[in-house]
Amino acid sequence: MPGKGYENTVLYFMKILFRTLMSVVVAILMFSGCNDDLFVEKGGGPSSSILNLSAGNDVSVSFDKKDFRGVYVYVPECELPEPDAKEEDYDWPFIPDEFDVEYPLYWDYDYVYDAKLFWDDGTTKKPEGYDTYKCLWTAWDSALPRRTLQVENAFVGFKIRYDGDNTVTVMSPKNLTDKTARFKVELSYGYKDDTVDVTIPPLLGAGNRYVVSGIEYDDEFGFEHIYENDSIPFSMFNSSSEKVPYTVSVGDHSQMYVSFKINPKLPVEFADNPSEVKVEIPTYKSVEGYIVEGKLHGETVGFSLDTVVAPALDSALGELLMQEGYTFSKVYTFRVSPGVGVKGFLTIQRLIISTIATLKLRNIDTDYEIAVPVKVDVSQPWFYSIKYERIENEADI
Amino acid sequence: MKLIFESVIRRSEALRVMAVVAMVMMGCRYMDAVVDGDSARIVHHFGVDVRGDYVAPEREAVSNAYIGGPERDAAASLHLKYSFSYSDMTRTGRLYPGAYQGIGVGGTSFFANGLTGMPVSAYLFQGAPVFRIAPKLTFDYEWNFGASFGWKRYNEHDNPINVIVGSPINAYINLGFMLNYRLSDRWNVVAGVDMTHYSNGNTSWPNPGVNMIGGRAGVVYTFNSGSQTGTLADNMEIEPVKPHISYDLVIYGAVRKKMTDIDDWPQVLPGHFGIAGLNFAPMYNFNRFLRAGVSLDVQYDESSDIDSYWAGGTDEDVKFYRPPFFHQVSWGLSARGELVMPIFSINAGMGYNFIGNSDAKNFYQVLALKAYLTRSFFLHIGYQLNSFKNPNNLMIGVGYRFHDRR
Repeated sequence: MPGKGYENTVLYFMKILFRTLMSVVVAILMFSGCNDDLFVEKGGGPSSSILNLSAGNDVSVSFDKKDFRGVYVYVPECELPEPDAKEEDYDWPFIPDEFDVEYPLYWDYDYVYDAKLFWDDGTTKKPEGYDTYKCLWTAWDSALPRRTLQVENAFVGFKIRYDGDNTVTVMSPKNLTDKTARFKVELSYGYKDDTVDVTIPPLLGAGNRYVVSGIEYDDEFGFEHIYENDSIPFSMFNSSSEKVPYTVSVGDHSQMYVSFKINPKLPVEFADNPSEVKVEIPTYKSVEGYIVEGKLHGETVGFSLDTVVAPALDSALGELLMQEGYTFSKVYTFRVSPGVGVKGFLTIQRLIISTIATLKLRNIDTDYEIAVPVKVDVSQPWFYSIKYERIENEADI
Repeated sequence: MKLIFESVIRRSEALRVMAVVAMVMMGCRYMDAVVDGDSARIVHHFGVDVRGDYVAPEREAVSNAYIGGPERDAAASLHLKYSFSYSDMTRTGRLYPGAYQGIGVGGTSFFANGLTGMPVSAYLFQGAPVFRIAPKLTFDYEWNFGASFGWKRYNEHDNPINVIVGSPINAYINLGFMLNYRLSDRWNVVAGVDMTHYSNGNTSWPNPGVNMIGGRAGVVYTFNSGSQTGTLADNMEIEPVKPHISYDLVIYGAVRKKMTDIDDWPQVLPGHFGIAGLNFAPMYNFNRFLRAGVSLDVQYDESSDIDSYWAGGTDEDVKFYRPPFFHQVSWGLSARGELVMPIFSINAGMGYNFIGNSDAKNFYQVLALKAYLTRSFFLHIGYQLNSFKNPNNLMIGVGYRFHDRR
C-alpha cells in the first residue's frame, strides 16, 4: 500500500516527539522548585552565639557548612592600660634604650595586633585582612583549610583553628589586663554573616595566683653590658699591746645581684613561694684571659621579686687568675702590730648584664601558663683588687 | 532555475519526504493527504525572499548602556521556505483556501557580526491570502515562529557591548502582510511589510529583545500547476462550524530569569526559576476562523515576590527564604481570542491577576501558538508579559480541547 511506510515513519516520529515534550513538561512541573541553590532555610546559625574562653579550656562552635564561605576574626576589644611610651614622642635615633629602663616598657606599637597563620605542614603566612579583622579561611583559598590563626598584641591574644569541617576552635587565651576582652568570630555565608562573641576573662588579678615555671630568652634580643666598680674601704688600728689579726673577705663584698622586674601594669599575683623552678640567668665568663660576652652559660638562681643575692662566680675570673690564687672566696688577713693600723680599699669590678626575657607563669589553680615580659639585670663581679697602707697614727684612719 | 524546479517536480518522493518532515515538526494531524502521496490533494511551494529591516531602538535605559553598538539600525536577511497547502479537493482546502504552512530557514545580518553574530533562523510558518484585490492580486498574511541560532550573546568580558541579547539561541517571531501577485500558474511574486521580534523568553539575561520592522520581497514557485488560487474570503457562504462553546485546558511549564531590587539596587538573580501554570478557557466558537472566551489562568512562579523573602547577600551570593507555595500562585482572568487555521491556532489574550501577591497582581498579556497533535490535543507554545513591556515567562505545554464540535 503506497504511503504506508511513510505513515508508520510519521507516527513513529510523532510518538517520539509527543513523549519527549510530555516528559519535559512533566519534569518542569515536578521540579518547579528548580532554583534550589538560591534558597536557604530560616533559622540555622552557629551552635552558640557566645563563647566564654576560660584559661586552659578550648571552646568550639559548630555551624552549617552549606554555602559556607569563610571565617574572619575581629581583633579583641578591651580596655588596655595606657602605654608607657609612644614612638612619636621621640625623634630618631634618640629612643630610650630598652635596657636603660627599670622594667619592660609598653610602647604604643605593642598595642598593634599581630596575626600569623600556621598551617599544619609547618608553613607560616601573614593572613589577609585589615587592622580590625583577620581572615582565617575563605572558600576562594585553594589551600587546605587545616590551619591555626594566632592574633595577639602585648596584652591580649588567642588562637583559632579551622580544620575544614563544620567547627572552629578557639584556644590559648591571653589577657594580661584586669578587664574582660571580647572579640568576634564571623562565619560568612556570602549572603549572611553569623557572629559568635568570644570573651577572654582576665588572667591576672581576680584571684589568679602564679608561680614561675620557667624563663625564655630571645636570642635576637641581646644583652647589654655595663662596667661598674665597687670600692669598699676598710681600716683598723691596733690599740692593744699584742699583734691582732684583721681580715678582709672578698666574698662578703662580691655577691652577685640578680633582679627580675615586671611592668607594674601587669597585676600579677604570685603564690607565697613564687619560684617553682630555678630560672636561668645570663652571665659571663673569662676564657684564656678574655671576657666572654654575657650570655647563657647555664647558671641559675631562684626567682624572686626581691633582688636575688648569690655568690660571685669564679668562672668570671678565668683559669689563669684562678691558678694565681684568685677566687671570690678569698680572705685577706693582716696581722697588725700594736700601735699601728691598716687602711685600704677592696675594689670589686662588676659587669651588669641586662636583657628582656619572657617569664613563664603557671596558674597554681588551673595549671594554665601565661608569659609576661621581664627585665633581668645581673650584676656580676668579674675581678677584684685590694690596696692598703700602714697607719702609724690612729687619727689617720 | 526552471530546470532545477522541473527536476525537483519529477522527484515527487523527495517532496513527500519534505512534507512529512514539515508535518512532524508541526505535530500535524493533517498528514493523511501527504502520506497517501496524493499530489492532487497537496500543493507544494518553494519560496525565496529577502528582507530589509529597521531595527527599533531599545528603551532608554538599555540604549544608554548600549554605547558602542552597531552603527546602523538595520538588518538584512535571506529566507528559503518550503510550504504545502491543501487543494480544494480536500475539506481543509475548501474551508481555508490558499492557506499554506511549512518550514523555513533564514540568515540575518545586523551589519555588526562581531557584536551580534549572524543568526540563522529555523522556523514554522503559516500564511494565507486573506482577500482578493484584483484577479491576480491578493492581500496575504504570514507568521513565522521558530528559533534563531548563532547569536553572539552578551558576555561581561568578551562582549559587554551587546546588552540586548542574552543567549545564543533566541525565539524568532515574525508577522507579515503582503501583496501577492500571480505571475503564472507556477510563479508568484510577493512583497510587503513585516515585523520581527527576537528574544529568549526571559530565560536568560539580558533580554530586552530585538524588534524590527521592514519590508520583504520574494518569489514563490508552486510545483502543482493549476492548483487552487482561492482566498480565505472565498467560500464564506459555507460555514460548517455551528457556534458552540468548547473548553481548552492547558498545562505548561517554563523557566525564567528574574531581576529584582536588592537594597534598592536592581540585580539579576542567579539561576532559573520554575514556572508551572494551568489555563482553563471556555471559548465560544463563532465560525471556522475565530473563537473567543475567558480564561482562568493559574500560575506558580518560583520567583514571584521573592524579594520579600530576601535572606541576605547580593549578586552571586544572594539568598532567599522559600516563600510558601500558595504565596507564589496567582489567579487571573483573561480575555482570549483565537485565530483558528489548519494545524495551528494563534491565541492572544489580556488579563489581570486578581489573587496573588503584590508582585503577581498585574495586567498581563499572552500570545500563544497551538499546534494540533490530534483533533483535540495540542502543543502550546506561548509567552506572557505584563504591562505590554515587562517579560514574564514562556508557556511551554500541552492542552486538550473538550466539547469540540468542529
